[in-house]
Amino acid sequence: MTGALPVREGSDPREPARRPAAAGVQGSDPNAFAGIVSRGCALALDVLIVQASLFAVGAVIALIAEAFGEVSIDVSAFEVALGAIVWIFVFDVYLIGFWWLAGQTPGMRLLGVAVTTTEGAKVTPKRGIVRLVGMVLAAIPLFAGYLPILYNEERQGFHDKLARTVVRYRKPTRKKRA
Amino acid sequence: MNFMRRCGRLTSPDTPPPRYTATNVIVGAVGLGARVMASAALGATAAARAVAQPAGAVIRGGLATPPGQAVQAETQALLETLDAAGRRDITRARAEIDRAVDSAIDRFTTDAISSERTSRVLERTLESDDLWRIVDRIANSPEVLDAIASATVGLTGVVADEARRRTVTADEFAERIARRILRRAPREPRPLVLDPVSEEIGPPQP
Repeated sequence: MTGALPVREGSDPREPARRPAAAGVQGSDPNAFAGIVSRGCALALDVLIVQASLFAVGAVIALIAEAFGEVSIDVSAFEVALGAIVWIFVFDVYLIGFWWLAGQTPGMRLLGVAVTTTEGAKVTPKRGIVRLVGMVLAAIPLFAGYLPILYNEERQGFHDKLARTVVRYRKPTRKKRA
Repeated sequence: MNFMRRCGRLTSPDTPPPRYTATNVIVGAVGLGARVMASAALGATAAARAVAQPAGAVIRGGLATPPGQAVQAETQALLETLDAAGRRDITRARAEIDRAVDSAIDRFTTDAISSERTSRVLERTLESDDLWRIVDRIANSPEVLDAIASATVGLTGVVADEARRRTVTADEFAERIARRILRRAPREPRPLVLDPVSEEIGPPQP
């Protein structure tokens, strides 16, 4: 069980053990469900990371293209739409890939949160797609689908309910240098 | 007494009359001379005292008068002026020495840097392969790379910890506001249950 704490010898198992503060999250429960600010900041960081990466890739492509001929900065509506589709596709792959492989995106890791299923297992690609669709649907009515995170006991939004996932604070693990 | 007796002044009817021998006469003469000299010394001391006391009184009295006080004040002022001048001279001398040393160092440094010999040495050093080998060695040394990496990781960790702490606080604050608006009870701490398999305490599993 992730983040579970051992019972001390001689202590009453019915009484909750004293939880140590998570590293970097002082005084918070490391197994607690993550709130809307942490999750929002993590998503914003992920958007920034994807944007920066695509910008770098775009710059390299433009440089190469310029070597072979003239590159115009005037882009048509079709090209804009194509760019948007590529952006959305890359972002979706990025989110689902990280949820599935690591349980958290780089932005989530920086802010110490991780996504799992309600059973505590890793999010599969299928469930990740459902969660992503849920995120889009939750954003359509002026992001009202995200409001349940504010008052829900398990801090689940519409997309979490749909995909049966939860987002928890995760104690960051740092490898010790040899 | 012996002397008197020897001189024949103190005589009693029982004692036989003194004999005026040569020894007795000499001893008596020496004793008399000593007495005269002692009396003269005492007199001189008394006379000196008698003169000194009025003289001291006169000087003290003179200093107590307005001209005497003026002289005293002048003397004091002169002494203070001399003292201050001495101190000023020391301070000025120190400043002069400092300035001279600074100037000498500046001149020396400027001369050393701008000298042709230094330029030649510098150019030769920069052109030498050994220097760049040393630079490469230092730049690629595991210690330096480790230090840079750990400093970067440490800084990132500190920033991330602070960001986490603040977002957790913001989470709780936002939730408290939302629950107050929706008139819901504040979040209670989640009960912890004993996991029968792992004998560990953790959050309840669905």
